[in-house]
Amino acid sequence: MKDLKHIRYYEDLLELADNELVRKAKEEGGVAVGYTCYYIPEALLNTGRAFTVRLRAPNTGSLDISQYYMSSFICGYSRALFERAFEGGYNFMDFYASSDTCQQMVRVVENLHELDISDNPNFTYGIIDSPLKISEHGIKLYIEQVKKEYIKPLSEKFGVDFSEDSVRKAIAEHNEMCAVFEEISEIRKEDNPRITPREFHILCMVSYCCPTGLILPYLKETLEDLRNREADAVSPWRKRVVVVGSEIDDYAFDEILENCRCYVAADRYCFGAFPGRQQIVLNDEEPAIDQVCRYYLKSCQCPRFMSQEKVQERRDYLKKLVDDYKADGIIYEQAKFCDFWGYERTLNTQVMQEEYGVPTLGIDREYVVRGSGQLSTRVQAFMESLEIKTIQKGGH
Amino acid sequence: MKAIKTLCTVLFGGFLFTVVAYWFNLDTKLVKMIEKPMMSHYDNMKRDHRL
Amino acid sequence: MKTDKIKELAARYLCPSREKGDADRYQDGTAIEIHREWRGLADTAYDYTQWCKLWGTLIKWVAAHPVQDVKAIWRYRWMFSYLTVPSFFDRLTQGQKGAALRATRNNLNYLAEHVTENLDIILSADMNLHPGSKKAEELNKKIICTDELLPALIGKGFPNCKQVLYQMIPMYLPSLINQHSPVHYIGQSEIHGLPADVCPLPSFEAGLAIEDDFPKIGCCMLTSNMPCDGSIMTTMIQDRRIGLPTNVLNVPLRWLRDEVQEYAVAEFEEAIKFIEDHTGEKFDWDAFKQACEIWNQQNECKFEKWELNKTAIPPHTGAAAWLYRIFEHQKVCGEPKALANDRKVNAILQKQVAEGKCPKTIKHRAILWNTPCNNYANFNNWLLECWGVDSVVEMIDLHGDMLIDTSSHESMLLGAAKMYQTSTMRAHTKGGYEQMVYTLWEKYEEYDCDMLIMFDQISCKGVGAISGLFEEGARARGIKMCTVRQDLMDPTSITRRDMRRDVNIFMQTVMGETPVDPTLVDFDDDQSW
Repeated sequence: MKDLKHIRYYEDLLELADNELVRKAKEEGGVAVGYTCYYIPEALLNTGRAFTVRLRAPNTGSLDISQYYMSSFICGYSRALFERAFEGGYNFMDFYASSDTCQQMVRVVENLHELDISDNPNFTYGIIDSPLKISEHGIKLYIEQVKKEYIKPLSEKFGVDFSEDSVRKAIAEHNEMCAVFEEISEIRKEDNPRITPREFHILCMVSYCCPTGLILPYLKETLEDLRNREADAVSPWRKRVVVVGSEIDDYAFDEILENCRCYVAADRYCFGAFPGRQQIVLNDEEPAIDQVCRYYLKSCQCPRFMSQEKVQERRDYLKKLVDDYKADGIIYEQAKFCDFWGYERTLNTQVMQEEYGVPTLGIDREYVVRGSGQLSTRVQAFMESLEIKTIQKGGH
Repeated sequence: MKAIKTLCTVLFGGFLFTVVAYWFNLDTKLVKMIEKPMMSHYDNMKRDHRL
Repeated sequence: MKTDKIKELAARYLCPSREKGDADRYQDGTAIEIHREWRGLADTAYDYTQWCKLWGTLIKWVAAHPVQDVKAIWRYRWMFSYLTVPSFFDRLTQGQKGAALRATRNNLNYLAEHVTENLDIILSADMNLHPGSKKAEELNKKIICTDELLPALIGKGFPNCKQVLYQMIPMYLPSLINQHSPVHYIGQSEIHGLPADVCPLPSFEAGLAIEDDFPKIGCCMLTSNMPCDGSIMTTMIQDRRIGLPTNVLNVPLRWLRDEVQEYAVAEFEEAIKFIEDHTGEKFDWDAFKQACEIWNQQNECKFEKWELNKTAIPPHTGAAAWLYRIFEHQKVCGEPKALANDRKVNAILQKQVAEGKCPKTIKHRAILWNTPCNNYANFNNWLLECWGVDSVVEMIDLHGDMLIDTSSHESMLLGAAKMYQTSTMRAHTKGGYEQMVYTLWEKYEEYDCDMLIMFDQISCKGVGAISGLFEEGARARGIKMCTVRQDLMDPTSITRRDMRRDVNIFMQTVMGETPVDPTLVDFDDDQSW
């Protein structure tokens, strides 16, 4: 297939956290809000002058400094973020929206604060406490925490406008972006999809790592290009999978899967589209902030949610993705040293296979996956097992 | 009188036994002796292992 | 020849004064003592009477339900650890004399009494031991199972029910009593795919669930997010085996914030409602108030102990102190007998301090920070006996120190919710890094310490991620810091000997010390319980 429009540009943008569009937004007076996970209501923090940048550490090399401060048993993502911050890679960031929802990730901002790492004189941060089950008082807590820890400092210190109109405008823009992804996701359902896993992941990541207002026009053009794109004559894909698990911000992961001719039909991992790239429907009766917060809490698929109904919801959600995207199997991936996904992967690799009847592969991986031969071997073997299953069922 | 004498003998014998058991750590040593067969028993028990 | 042999044995078994040190009493590898410790006539006689009291408790327990207890030992691997309790108590009293010995023995014997009562409750209701028993079914209707890190205070509001800290008996206590008890279960977790880097505590729990070695008891279960991410996740695996109606009692992490307290109270209220619904009992505010008031008095006793430890002759330090604190905060909060024990122990400690006595050799006053190592529960005893390092203050001991205002229902709920937020392994590891880092320096000064022992629990992600801040902070303040690596309750990754080696190197090279008891510097106890 022909190269997608702007794909090279997107790859360039992903080379740096402080990419061209982030710098442009800053020059125009924007307030850069860094964040790391779905507990932080991304759409809300793109209000007014504020724009969110989901933090990643592209081209991570050695992690010597972070190993000293954070020990070697901490997840690679947290260590890579800290290392990058230490190197000055996040000096553009004005506000770090963090949450005490992962004991490793929250320590990144705490280390940054204690060691006074940022050269940005405006730098400040907020850490929310968030519930791990859905209840009315839990939603209330979450809303109050978001208001106190994020909205209040952003509006008081940075003059960000969080009025009702401003928030609704931000959500409308977010929904415009999500509409793009919803349409692209439909393309992924095709038998011979006109977008590759790598391309989709790149699009998803730029939507997280660049200011929405600035990246949206490019994404729309890419969508237009996709609408007219012709698929390869023969589908190159052996099997289709849903990938679920810890954050993946390195599209080399998809390259490895593509080399095994494995098609990622849906991505239920952090930095992915599910959840995160679905439109948020607001009513006119309640304040937009409250509705958005409720949405993020209820739609969150983090394994930290420990109530039995949420545990069950995650499995059902995954099964629905498998069915909707006509996946042949699931790949449960886990970042090394991630406690949450370590347990979730262990258990649900068995549950999805035995109770839901979906072939499932469980793997763990480093933060930097480029060149991982082991990953390739595991996926290859999984593809073969899926093909054998199909043959045994009388298919081809 | 004989009953009291017997009782005293028994009690004193019990006391001596406890002193000896205490000092020579007989209780711990006894448990150590049965540890291996008990572990073997646990290892051989049928179990319903599942997540 | 024969006479020489007899003389040698007599010397070995009957003449403690000929021994160069404690380790001379140990059998190789197992560290089982060939004879118990000679502490002088008065202290040895006292220790003997307390040992008899312990055996009295154990015999009473077995005599009450002999068949049931034997069945339990036969059925559950972790039950075997309880047979080694006398040895465990010996380790925790190692080297102790005077008030320290008396305080430790009183605390531990009370612990034994309470645990045997608990075992009776659990084993009598256990459907694994009594399948199809109507009596056991009836008992279960009034048993509230809770995560072990949820203090038993909430259960005090249900006097007709029994709150069982679910993992305490099969997991937490065995991990302290017998270092090998977690190994098999952790192995099961890893065989079933759980990564090896997760903390051994939740891994042990997961292994128990996988092996179906939890007792089958209770009518409902309160789980929680305590103490950490690993524990949150292991709940998922346990839920599948336990199969009880479950409510999550979410304890806020940023517990220093006033604005999360409303949520904490709402969670507490929800938990109360959940228990009411499943037990058919109504929450008894009077009983709850009484328990809160007793807990306040228990805390006052603890405050006294902390003050005594600030003196030049700290009477009650080490494992017996912190282990009892955990037990008291989690399990016997609000118990009249616990308060009576505290008062008795405090009187003993105060008397010794008033008399100016100090029957131990203190060369250094150490603050111990981060969670201690369950598989080396008597590490403090070794520190003192080998190097003269007295553990005058420990992080694990310093939690739950807020008194509960019992003037109204609202204030009681607030106080209880706060007590939950400052539970074991929670008060300092949550609330923000400042709570763990800055409190360390404050306590170091407050207790007039001259060295810091930092436990580097290698699989603890929350603390590991700020490990550098401790090093830099110690360096900036000129504090001598000894890092002791440990893996909480997995002796196969870091052994007791490894831990001692870390201290030995530090004491020799940094502190320039010679050991108080050279026989304890290096010895083999890998097979020891």
